[in-house]
Amino acid sequence: MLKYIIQRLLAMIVTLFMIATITFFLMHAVPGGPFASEQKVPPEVQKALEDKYHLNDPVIKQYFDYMSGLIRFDLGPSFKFKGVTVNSLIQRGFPVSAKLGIFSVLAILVLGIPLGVIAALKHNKWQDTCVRFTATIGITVPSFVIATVLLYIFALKLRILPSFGIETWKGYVLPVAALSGYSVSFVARLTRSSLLEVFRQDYMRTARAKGLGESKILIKHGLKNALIPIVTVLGPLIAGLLTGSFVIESIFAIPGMGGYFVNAISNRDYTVIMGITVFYAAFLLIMIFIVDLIYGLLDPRIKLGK
Amino acid sequence: MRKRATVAVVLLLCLSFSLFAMGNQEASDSAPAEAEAVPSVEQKITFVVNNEAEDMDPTTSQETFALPVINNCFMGLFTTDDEGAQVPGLAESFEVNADGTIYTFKIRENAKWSDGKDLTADDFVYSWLRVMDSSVASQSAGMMKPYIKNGSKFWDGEVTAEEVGLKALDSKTFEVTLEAAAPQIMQVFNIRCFYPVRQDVVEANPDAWHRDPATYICNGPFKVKEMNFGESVVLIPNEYFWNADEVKLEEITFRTIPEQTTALTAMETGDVDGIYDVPGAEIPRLRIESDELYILPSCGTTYYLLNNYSEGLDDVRVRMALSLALDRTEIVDVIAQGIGVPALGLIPPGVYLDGKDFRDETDFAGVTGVAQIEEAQKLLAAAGYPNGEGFPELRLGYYTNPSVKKLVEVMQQMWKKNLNIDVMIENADWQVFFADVQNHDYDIAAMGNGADYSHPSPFLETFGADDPVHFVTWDNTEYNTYMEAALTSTDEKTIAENLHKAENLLLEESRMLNLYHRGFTMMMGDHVKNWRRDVLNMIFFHYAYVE
Repeated sequence: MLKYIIQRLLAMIVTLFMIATITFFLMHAVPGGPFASEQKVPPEVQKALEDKYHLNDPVIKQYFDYMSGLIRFDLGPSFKFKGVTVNSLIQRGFPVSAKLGIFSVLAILVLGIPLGVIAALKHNKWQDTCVRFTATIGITVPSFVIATVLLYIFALKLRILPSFGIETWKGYVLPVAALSGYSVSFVARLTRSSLLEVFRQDYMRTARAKGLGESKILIKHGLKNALIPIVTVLGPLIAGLLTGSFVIESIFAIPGMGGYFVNAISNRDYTVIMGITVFYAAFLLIMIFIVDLIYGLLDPRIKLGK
Repeated sequence: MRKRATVAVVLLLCLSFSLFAMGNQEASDSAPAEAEAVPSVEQKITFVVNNEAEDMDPTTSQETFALPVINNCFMGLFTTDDEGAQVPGLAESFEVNADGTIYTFKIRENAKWSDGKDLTADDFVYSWLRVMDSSVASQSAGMMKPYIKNGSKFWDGEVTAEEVGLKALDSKTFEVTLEAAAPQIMQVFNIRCFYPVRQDVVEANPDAWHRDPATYICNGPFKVKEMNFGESVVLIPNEYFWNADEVKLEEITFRTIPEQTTALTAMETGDVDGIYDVPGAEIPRLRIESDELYILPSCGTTYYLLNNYSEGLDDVRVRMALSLALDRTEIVDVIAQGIGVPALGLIPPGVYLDGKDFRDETDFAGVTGVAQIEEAQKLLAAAGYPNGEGFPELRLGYYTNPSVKKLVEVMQQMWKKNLNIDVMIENADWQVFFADVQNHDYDIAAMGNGADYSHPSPFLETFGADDPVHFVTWDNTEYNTYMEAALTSTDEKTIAENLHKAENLLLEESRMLNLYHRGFTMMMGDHVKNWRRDVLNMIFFHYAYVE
């Protein structure tokens, strides 16, 4: 097991290195630079700026400089936001995004999975129809539409929830609802179909034949086996939720990490693009690794490290 | 909802007033109750901005989103009054020598930094040298170094700091020697890169001193209490400000809300007191429903560049035809939601020179607010393209932005309908688009100018030989002569005359497609008084208060 973990960690480092390398060169291949100001900047001032941020060095030198910083966990200064380092952007933004993400993950666990179970148990009954209907809406309607509608109803019309920010617990309600809408619906549908599949298995019939109680059959034999596909999607889903959503954070004015990535690309803020990509990739790799470990717990047939 | 809330407030006020009146029968007869009620209102406001500031160091910052903080925390030699007129700021008086090249400023005795230290002429010398120091790489350097004696040479490292035309004659006397007399210099002094910063805090942390309230030492009416990156900046009064007695607000929160519709919702629910910008689609509704919507003039013009080297565009008749075929009133009404005014010339209204509004004296070369289709068709036919036949397909380039997209589509339709010619719309990121324009790789390109100071020259310089950026493909000796004659003179009349000649030449030759003069839209609650946003987009809460 320890050997397996070490192997996986080494593989992760290699993957991260490759991701960083590819991103670095792709990013420099995109035309335009970070200092195309809207104001008129004379060429000599432009050059002084580029010199200051070492953008006139050969790309390969810039690459090695960046990578040697990365090894020391130094992600460099943002080109766009003067006086702000990429490390501090992540340190400030990630906890905010993560807090919102954790509530969304909780919503998946307390809403998504139970709803899926109910739908599967009441297959083709009205409960099932209700869950399927709501889940379809949740999956098909984009989060910004959900967010805007929620804002309109609860903030503007009813005025019971704030229109922006997460300074109070009330502030979390709308963004979490909008952020988790898709994931909750997706997981509910997945749980339902996976559980229905499991119900048809022979071992379920065996369990019933042995005279086990319905709840024990459902939890120990049904749900445990049905969870494997769910855990598979939960890994990347959680990584996505915790690292923030551009749309939701911008609509609800939440100072998380979601906005940086998208804006950094259009600003050509090289260090931020790199820093966030590497951070997100590392996070995703860890989540996938955890998912793999959970497989082993759920299904003894899956042996790790072979 | 809003009405009901207002009614409730009025009722509450009546009730409290009657209680007050019952308790103080005698007092209620004499003193005006309202005047006494004013100070009891909490003097705190929240104003929404749409983006995190990129750089809050006045000597290097050049973008819009830092302005609310910088304008209220820092001050330069001059400031502006309620009418926008230039009045003494940190300098209480100044003298100019006969040929207009040496300015001597007397700095206020009570001018101090927000930590109580004295603000001296040396602070100005340090700060201005910082702007012109190439190792600092201030984006604003281009707005200072051409004017100050030896400024450009200092940038190039050819002279030492002592040889630059900046001198502290004594602790409160600051002498500036210019390279040559410059007619626009008084306006230029108002630009934020001319504000002083504090040497010790800047040198302790040159790149990040402006990101920490503890080191954000300033000299204006307010100072920073909190900076929450991506979220808010909170200002409180600076007790050492030379005019601190007049400052009434106790706290200003600049809250970042990137999404304009959310900001509007926050405004309409009363969660905030003002918003920096309003979503375009909501303007027609707000014009009717809200009395808190402000449409303010801006010293800016949106125009499109025409490439002289492109086939067809080298003919003045074609350029003029393209210009006349556009309905500028429709453009303003449809695209800009009625914000702004049709641009018949280049310089926006409200720019004064020689005591006159520059705009009033311009000859628009036949361009009017509406399309002149017949005239345009005639010109196009005379140029060899009757009914648009054989006209080359021009590229109309713009940068990714929803309202610019709408604008180019409308222009495309107007040209198709009025002249029967096709233009191909090309879209790119700003970064890519801007590089293309600088490389002259365009036929027609979206551009515009928002001025840093209120003077015709920054608009006209774009089309001159001396423009450092030079994305215009036109080099006209006559134009350059007028510009030089204007910008080396000290006589306002001569300056105005020559700048008019230059602009008129630009318009006669139809060197660009001037479309509209810009405006700002914003909202501010009725209870916030005495704030001001000027044509240069500077927003001042210096002596604002809540009623």
